[in-house]
Amino acid sequence: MFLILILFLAGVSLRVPGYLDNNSVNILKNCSLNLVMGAGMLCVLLVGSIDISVAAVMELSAAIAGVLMRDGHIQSIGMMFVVGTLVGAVIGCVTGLLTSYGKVLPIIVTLGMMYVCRALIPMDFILGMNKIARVDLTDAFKDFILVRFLGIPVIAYITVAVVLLFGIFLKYTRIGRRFYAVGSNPEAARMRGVPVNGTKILAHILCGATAGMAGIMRLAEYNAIEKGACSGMEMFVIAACVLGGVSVMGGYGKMIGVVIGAILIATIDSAIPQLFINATMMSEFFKGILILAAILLNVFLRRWAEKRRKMRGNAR
Amino acid sequence: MKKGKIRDFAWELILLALLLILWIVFEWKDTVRDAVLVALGRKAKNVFSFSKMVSGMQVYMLYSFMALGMALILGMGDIDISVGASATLSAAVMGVLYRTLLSCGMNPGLAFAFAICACLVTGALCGLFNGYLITRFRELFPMIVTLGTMLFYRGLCYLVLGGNTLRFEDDATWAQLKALYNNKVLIGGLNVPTIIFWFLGFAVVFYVFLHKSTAGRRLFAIGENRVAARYSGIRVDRLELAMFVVCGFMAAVSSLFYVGSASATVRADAMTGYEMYAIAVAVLGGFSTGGGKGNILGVVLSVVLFGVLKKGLGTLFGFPDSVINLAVGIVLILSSLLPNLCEMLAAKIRMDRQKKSGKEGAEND
Amino acid sequence: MTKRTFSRIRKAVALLLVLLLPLAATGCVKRAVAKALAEQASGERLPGEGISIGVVIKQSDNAYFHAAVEGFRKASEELGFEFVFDGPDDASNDGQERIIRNYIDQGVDVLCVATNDASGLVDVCNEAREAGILVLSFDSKVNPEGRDLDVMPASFKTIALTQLEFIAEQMNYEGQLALVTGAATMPNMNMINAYVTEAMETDPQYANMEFLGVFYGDDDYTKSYDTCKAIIDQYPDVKGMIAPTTNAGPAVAKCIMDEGKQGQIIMTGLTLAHDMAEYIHSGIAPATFLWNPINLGYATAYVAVAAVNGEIAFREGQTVTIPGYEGLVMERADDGGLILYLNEMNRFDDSTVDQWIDIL
Repeated sequence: MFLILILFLAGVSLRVPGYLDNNSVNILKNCSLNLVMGAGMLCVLLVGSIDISVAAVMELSAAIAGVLMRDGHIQSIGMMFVVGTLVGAVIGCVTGLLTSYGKVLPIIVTLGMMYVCRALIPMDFILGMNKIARVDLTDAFKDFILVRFLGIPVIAYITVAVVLLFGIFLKYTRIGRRFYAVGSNPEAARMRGVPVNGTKILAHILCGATAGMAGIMRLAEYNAIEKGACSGMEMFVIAACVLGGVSVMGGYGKMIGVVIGAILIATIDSAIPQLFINATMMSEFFKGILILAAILLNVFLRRWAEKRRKMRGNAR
Repeated sequence: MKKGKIRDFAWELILLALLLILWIVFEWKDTVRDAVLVALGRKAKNVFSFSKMVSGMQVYMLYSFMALGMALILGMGDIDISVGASATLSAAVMGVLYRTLLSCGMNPGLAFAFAICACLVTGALCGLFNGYLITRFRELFPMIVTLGTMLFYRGLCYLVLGGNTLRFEDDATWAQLKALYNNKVLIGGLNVPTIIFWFLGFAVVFYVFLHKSTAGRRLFAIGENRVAARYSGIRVDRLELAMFVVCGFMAAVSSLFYVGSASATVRADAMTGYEMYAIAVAVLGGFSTGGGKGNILGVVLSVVLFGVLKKGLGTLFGFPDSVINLAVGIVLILSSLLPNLCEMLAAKIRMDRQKKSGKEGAEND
Repeated sequence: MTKRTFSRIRKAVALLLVLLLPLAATGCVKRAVAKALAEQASGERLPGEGISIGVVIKQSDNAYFHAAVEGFRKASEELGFEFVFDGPDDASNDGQERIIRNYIDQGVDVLCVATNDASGLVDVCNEAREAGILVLSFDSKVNPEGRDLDVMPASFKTIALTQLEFIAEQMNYEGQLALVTGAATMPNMNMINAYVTEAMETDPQYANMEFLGVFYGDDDYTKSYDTCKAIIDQYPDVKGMIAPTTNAGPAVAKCIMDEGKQGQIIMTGLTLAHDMAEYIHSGIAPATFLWNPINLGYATAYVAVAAVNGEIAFREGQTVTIPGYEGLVMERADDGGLILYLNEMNRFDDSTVDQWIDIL
């Protein structure tokens, strides 16, 4: 997987000289949203569920936090993140309850949630018919994205913190390891005393929370949010996870894989306008084809590795 | 025997009841509104009536063809979210091919026939590609594969059309597509859009295939348990491949109507999000992404239900388009939550009863 | 309790419900009628009374079109007509068709449409006209065969050249200039692009300027931002940018600011005031332009009411009187249909932008 990324970077650097110097920070910034959501999505995928409402949740939480800031209820940056994360977590909780106790298939629940969230945004008590724009936000919040520490934007540090936190949580804590157990074999997990439904709900809460957080990060980055602003993001988050070798059936996947997947997608994203600057049409086409090719290549590589392992096993 | 039959159609009956309730509510609201208008000395508008519903139905039929194809896929426990993109691609290919053939000096009628064939074939090929990838790469979920192909097909559309709108408004031959969508037949005083007959025709074919043929039963068997189906001698991969081809074909069919609805124009970003509508309709119709259940009759009912819901909320209650989606989302979740809850409740009652009778039995001994 | 009594009770309840329903309905009707009559009695007779207008906008949450709707509201307070407005969630053609069909069924007298695709709505608009509904398009036209009149704020030539002249003057008529536009499918954007490109190629006063071309931001904030970033990376010497869509404007300005090119790159565009106020004050955009969407909606509403009342006819040379506008005349447009230009551009600069923040 790493190989693909390096190959791709090399290819682009050849075409566009100076690409890496200009864009490494940009890539970092672009993949931050994908990474934060990817961490939550990883949890959901691990327990054998899926969430395609993340983009809508992102918009909703950013809209709610933005409205609160516009009306002067919130001033601090920290509170924005708290509100956004909470909104996301609540929606995640509802999704989790429906999928675990309600036994509705996650695709359907989250598809429905997507409709509901998107429809809630233009309601009068949230955004009404307006959108959040620059004048609605405090200066501190707007400048927050520009703050750099050691030459790297603060947002990247937040991303790294979230990723590390999730990585450690999944690998080294007991609750985190339950995710794997529930995903690979729910029956066996139940037998051994793991609260399957509770774990699933927790996974969805985490996913919703990261989506809400990503919404605030996006609001900080672009200073604007409206309904449908993030549509399509959910697909790229899932694609990042799949590229990182996470199994959609549940039970298998590592944080580091998601990191590589997200970086690869961010690279594709930032490289394509550079390569085909005058042709959005070409860029759409290549984005599709590259992601599809990367997913398939990934499968081929894994199959190949398995074959070699088997052959080695036979030889022994 | 009879009881079993009723239980088989339980979901369809619920849908029918829901439809009836909606109808009564809307009709009532309409009557109140008209009475107010008459009292104010204006003429009654009678917004919501059976004839108006039928004659305006074609807007809500565009994704119904996709929903039929989707029903097959869902019945097998798969999902295809690339249908919207493959439909657009089919339309794009059709438009571009027609234009090229015309510029080569071909007779418009012949070129049109070719273009329509190309459209259907493109749809089927998109489905074939999906099916091939899915059966070849089992470790990827159909969701992921079709996600990838969705991006890919959409990209192809942009490549083929280059971001411009392909226009054929003044082309008489091409305008037949408009007629395909807009034509209405007068039956018993009702203006019935022909698209309804096309849909019903397809629905009958699908019904016979899914519920009366061996292949249909095999399909549900795959949905129930893929491994067991394979061991019982069903060629799972082949059937799955074929169903994806059918689904792609249906996407192409709906693209024909879509082109008609857009005044005979083709655009690269047309029909985005249609896959979600199709899934929503199929799920409300009783199919589930888990596979193994569902009835085409339910899909037909849910197409009507969605139409009535959107129309009624939009015209009578003045809800904006976006809020209607809220209703769609809630209906979608409830439609799969309620049966589950009922089932759980029934199971619990049964358990309790068993426990009780078990206890009584023990006491009697 | 036996099963039979249960079913009997159920039947009785059902019967009761069926009997009660019509009673409840008549009660409701009576109350609603009384309320409406009371409302009518209190008001005086206005020229627009009894007329209902359906306004179809491009997208449900587009601030620009909500400003236009504000204009309709203002006119409806003066003229007394009723109006409903809606736009699709996803800026799609079929969404607009659905809404128009709903309005036809609701029996509106006039449809005012800002279309996403000039030719996509022709059929359904014609269906409306067959039902006796007048079809006016505003802001973005419906093709001539599907409309009665197109109401436009200013001709595209004026719009395009106003921006170009302004930015060229600010750039001292030298340096590289880029145009970040909306989606390639938008007819109005394509017209502006064409006029700018043509002027840059042929007009001698721009001979020392290099036109980098038209770049598409798909009328989407994120995409426009990325496109602008790519332009700055690719052409580090770029001096001026034009962003003639309300979504691209703030994105381009923000990108210039984030890239630290303030003072080096200047931009202008068609933008809303509150999106841009900050950049206008900071000098990234010395000034931006827009017509007044409120006035546009207001004027469209006046035209609609006058047409329904038979005061004006849809023909070339017909003069239209709207409060605030003198001597507007219907013209034959390039596409062969009728058009009415308000020809009024609104300039937001350091001193005027703050007056507009709350409105646009």
